[in-house]
Amino acid sequence: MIELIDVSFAYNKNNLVLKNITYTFNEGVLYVLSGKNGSGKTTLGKLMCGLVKTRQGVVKVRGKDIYKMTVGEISEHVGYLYQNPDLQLFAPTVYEELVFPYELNGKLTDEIKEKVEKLLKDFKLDDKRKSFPLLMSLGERQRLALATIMMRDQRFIIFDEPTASIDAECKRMIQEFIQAFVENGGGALVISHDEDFDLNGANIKSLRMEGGVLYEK
Amino acid sequence: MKSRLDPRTTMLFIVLTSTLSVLAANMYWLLLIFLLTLVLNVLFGLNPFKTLYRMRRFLSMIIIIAFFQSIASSGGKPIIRLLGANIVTSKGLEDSLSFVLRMGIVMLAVLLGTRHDSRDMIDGLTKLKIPYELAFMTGIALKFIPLFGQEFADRIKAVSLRGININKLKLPKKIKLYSYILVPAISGSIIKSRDIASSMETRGFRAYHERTSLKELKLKLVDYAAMTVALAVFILIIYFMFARR
Ligand SMILES: Nc1ncnc2c1ncn2[C@@H]1O[C@H](COP(=O)(O)OP(=O)(O)OP(=O)(O)O)[C@@H](O)[C@H]1O
Ligand SMILES: [Mg+2]
Repeated sequence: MIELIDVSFAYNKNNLVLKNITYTFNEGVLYVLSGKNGSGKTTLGKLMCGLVKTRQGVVKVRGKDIYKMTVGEISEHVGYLYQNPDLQLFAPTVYEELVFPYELNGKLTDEIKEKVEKLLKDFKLDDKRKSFPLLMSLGERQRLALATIMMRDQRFIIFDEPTASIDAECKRMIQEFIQAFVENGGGALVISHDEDFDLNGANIKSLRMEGGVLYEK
Repeated sequence: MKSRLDPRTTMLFIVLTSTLSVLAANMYWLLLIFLLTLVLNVLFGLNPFKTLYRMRRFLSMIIIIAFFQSIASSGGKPIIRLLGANIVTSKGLEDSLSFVLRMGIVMLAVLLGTRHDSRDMIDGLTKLKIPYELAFMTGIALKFIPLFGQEFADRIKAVSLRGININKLKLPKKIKLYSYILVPAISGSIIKSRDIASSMETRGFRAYHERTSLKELKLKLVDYAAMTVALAVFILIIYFMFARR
């Protein structure tokens, strides 16, 4: 559960990007957020996982104020997919991209390796496992970035335009993936321009950002 | 606020301080030049400490490199001895400190250039008879420096999002992680600059030979004064650096 209590945010003084937002995001619900370019959608997502912070208002993750928590600590509970996949790709190969955090932390178990194999298949990256991520196509990079997020068992994930440059087939796959994640009890905030999600489902809420204010549709 | 000096004056500052950092033969001279560059930063209205703080991860990486350098070099008095071998020697320590200072000087010097509009900087360089293409590239590069810093910070955050606590890693793993952060950042900018270059070509970048620009750059009295002082200090430092040999 992520709570925003009267949150305002500005990158530069006097220029509020978000204005007095109070909203509670629950697990088991898919939130779809739309809004014009520059309306503050990405900023809201970053605020919810501590990538940007504010003293105007409070952001709570599972009841805890995240102001003093590090991004790493927050990321135990909240995942975040960047709008730009390149920022979150590091390793020289697709396979290493998925395993390196576990390698570095000394926790590369058989269980993790199995998970990697499953994700490689799910995201159709099986035959790319030796490729250099930064030279793959944009859609492939986006799928890989998504796979890295799914490696961790976070309860709430923020997806910043996950299907922006992906072809129809993969788009459907990613939508189904997110929907399954929510049906299994996870919470998701999907920032999306296109009306791709079937917004009539029982556990779906449609949100709109306008002039720094968040509206429920 | 932008700098009131002519971009050419700033360029002179950058060239002189970087030259000194290369020529300086020992740590003490480097320290002096480092302090001078710090003062220049303050005079230019930059906050060098804020910058150094923002670049702290990058700096700590340089310090790690320096640490290994100091282990690798021998000579001088031993400072730390282990199992009969000199691990850290006075010379090694001095070498590595010099390396850190040198990198610091160049970083701070280049920052001075960011106080100018990149267009002015390009104009200034072409006035020095530097080919427009080269000047344009330098202008772009200067514009990208703050962005590069931002990107570096973003990548560090992206790594924490994966559940890696940089501060808790042991040194060899830390180095591996830094390579994960640096290599894509560098290869990413190479890919990006290749794209910029080809997109410039498709837009007919080299089509005109003579360029006119709206704003005329003119050296003012303050520029001549600043240049004179800079050159005087430069010559003085060089003189004392080598006169005592
Ligand atoms: N790092 C930053 N520094 C200063 N201003 C920023 C920064 N990031 C975003 N902004 C500004 O904040 C406003 C909101 O940006 P944000 O990225 O949240 O919009 P968005 O709704 O995600 O837009 P898009 O649909 O284009 O992704 C914009 O006016 C943008 O220019
Ligand atoms: Mg956005």
